[in-house]
Amino acid sequence: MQTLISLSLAGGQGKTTTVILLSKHLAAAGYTVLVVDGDPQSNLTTFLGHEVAQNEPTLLEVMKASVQLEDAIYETDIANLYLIPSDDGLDNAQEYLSTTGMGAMVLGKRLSPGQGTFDICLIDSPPQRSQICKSIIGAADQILIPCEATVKGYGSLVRTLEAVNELKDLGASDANLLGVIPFRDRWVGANQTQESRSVIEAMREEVGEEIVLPSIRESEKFKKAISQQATLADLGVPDLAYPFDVLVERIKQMEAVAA
Amino acid sequence: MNDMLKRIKRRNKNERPSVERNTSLVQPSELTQTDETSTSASPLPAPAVVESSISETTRSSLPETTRSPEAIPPSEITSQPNAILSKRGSANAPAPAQSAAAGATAIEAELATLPQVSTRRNIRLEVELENRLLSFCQANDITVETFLEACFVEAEQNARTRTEIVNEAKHRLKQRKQAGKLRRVLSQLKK
Repeated sequence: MQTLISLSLAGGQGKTTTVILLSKHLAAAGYTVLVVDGDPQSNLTTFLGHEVAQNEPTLLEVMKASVQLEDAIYETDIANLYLIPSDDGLDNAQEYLSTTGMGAMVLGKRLSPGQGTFDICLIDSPPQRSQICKSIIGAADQILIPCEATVKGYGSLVRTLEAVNELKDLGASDANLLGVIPFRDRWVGANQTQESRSVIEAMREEVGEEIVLPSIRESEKFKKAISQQATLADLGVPDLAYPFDVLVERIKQMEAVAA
Repeated sequence: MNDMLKRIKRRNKNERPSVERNTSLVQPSELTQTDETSTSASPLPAPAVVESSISETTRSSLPETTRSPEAIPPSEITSQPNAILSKRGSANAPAPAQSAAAGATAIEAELATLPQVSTRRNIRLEVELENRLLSFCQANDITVETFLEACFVEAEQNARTRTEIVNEAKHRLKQRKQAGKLRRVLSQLKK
């Protein structure tokens, strides 16, 4: 099982969008995918059509090891796609992780029984430098950083990379940066806006040309696809799914190398 | 298919362990903070009305699950030993090293006077009633466990209440047994 995380320390950068659309692509490609909602806002849980009952196990109970991993895994309506949901209660994990000596190692350890069952584990992260975020970075084999094609987005990329490097220096992470995905890349007709072009160029300078993936264009279709639980192909815009096609290919290559 | 996936696919809601989770912004520990902890760093101070309405007697009778030993952090015991110990009724002010140990002993002694909680057990409740019960407990800032404990204590002390509760419980048990029998017959018919 390869653990991929969608990470950014700012809100609105496309973390959840990336997880939802990529997980559906991977599931459609035949991978058995476990998605983990690591954000107490629980948008991923909602967009995958899951409603958490107050007494049902979630990621919080998995982190605290008060239930077994499989007790908190739920089938979704999508074939090959499984979910560990969350709700506001996940905030309680902060205290638990901060009092545990090795908070950054907790999530990776808790998810380890899924080895051999799931091909890919895809984790959505909260937009803060929190204990939960540290634990998610600690669990990662591969990191995806979605990043809005704006000045704010570029700032979030720099800050996110610093946080990852800080944990790497401490030996709490040995994750690989799989890619940076420019998000809300704005085009007017056939022309990319000046801001989007210059920011994406700055991203390439920051992490290297080959790390920056094809961008997710600014389009209401992404919102529609997510809220209507449809695919971009269902909405008649399969071209918009190109960044995810490339990502799936990159993951396939990564798996081939690992094998 | 992998064994874990088979188990996940077979599972329905009732087969999962029932958990209790606080989804409120204000934590129970913040509502039960004592005067002693008011100097410790806390993101949200306990509301004054709650703080003032809980007397020292009431606080000392709170169960272990709502008043943890972390209520007085060791750092505070070390930094303000005299203040804490004098509030706890100590006449003589000991040296800092001794006071930390004395503080720990005092906490252990206080803990020993509070009810001990048994290991977790799974219970299964009527689905429709469970939702009402959870809402009721949430609305009253209590847990299902403490509600059950309180019901039993009240029933022990009040014969009429006890009879009503036992009659209702017997009626429910009869229904459950009947449902069990029907399920057995049904599964035999399907074989």
